[in-house]
Amino acid sequence: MITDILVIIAMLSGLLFFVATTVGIIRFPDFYSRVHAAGKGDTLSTTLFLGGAILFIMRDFSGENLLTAGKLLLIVFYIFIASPTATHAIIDAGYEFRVPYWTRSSGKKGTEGDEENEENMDDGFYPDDLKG
Amino acid sequence: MNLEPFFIVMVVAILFLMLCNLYRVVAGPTVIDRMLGVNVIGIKTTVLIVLIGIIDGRVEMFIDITLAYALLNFITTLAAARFYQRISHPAPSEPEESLVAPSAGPEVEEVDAPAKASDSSRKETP
Repeated sequence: MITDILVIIAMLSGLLFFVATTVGIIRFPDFYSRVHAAGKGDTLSTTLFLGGAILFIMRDFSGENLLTAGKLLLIVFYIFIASPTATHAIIDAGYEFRVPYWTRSSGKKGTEGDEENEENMDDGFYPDDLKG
Repeated sequence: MNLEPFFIVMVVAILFLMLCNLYRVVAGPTVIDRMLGVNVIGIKTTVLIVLIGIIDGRVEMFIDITLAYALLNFITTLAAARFYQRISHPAPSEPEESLVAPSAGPEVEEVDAPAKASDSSRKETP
């Protein structure tokens, strides 16, 4: 009974972080801030969901369930390492791809602010060896 | 307590969130935004497969699929990111060609090449 309540609490909080990730990815104006939302929220919410699954499986204790829970723990450990690494690789590619970043002026002008961003890119945001 | 309806609600909620993330994949301004959306959908899919396995009652079979999917998602994202990083920087290929071309060509051209270069530089300077 207590285990079931713990499973429900873990999965609902995981769903909350998934919703936060999705809202961040849809609503943020910039590529870099979108990566920020995706990298943080997904790692924690996946850990919470799979932790709830481990609790649910270990409700009735047996050797086979122990093996399954160990594999789930392996997936949690793997995603805890791999998800920030993938996010870092994506933001590295975006940085060298010169994705324009959000400024206050580009936010006021809406979608027409892209040319303004292109000009702002020479203002010292990028290091000299990336300007080419 | 029967938790199966709760898991079904969770699966439907995650599917809805994946549909919302698909907006970023379709309407992303750059290629890298699309890549980010696909990565997030893939991470959600690993959770989804575990939940489907719990509902189905055969978690020990679905766990292996989940493990393979997580590995595949990570490697795909890493490969695509490195690919676009390589595309945005084609500079390393240029010095290799200039190094390879004189040694691969015949010796006569090697003698002629500095003379032509000096001629062209003389014409350009005045």
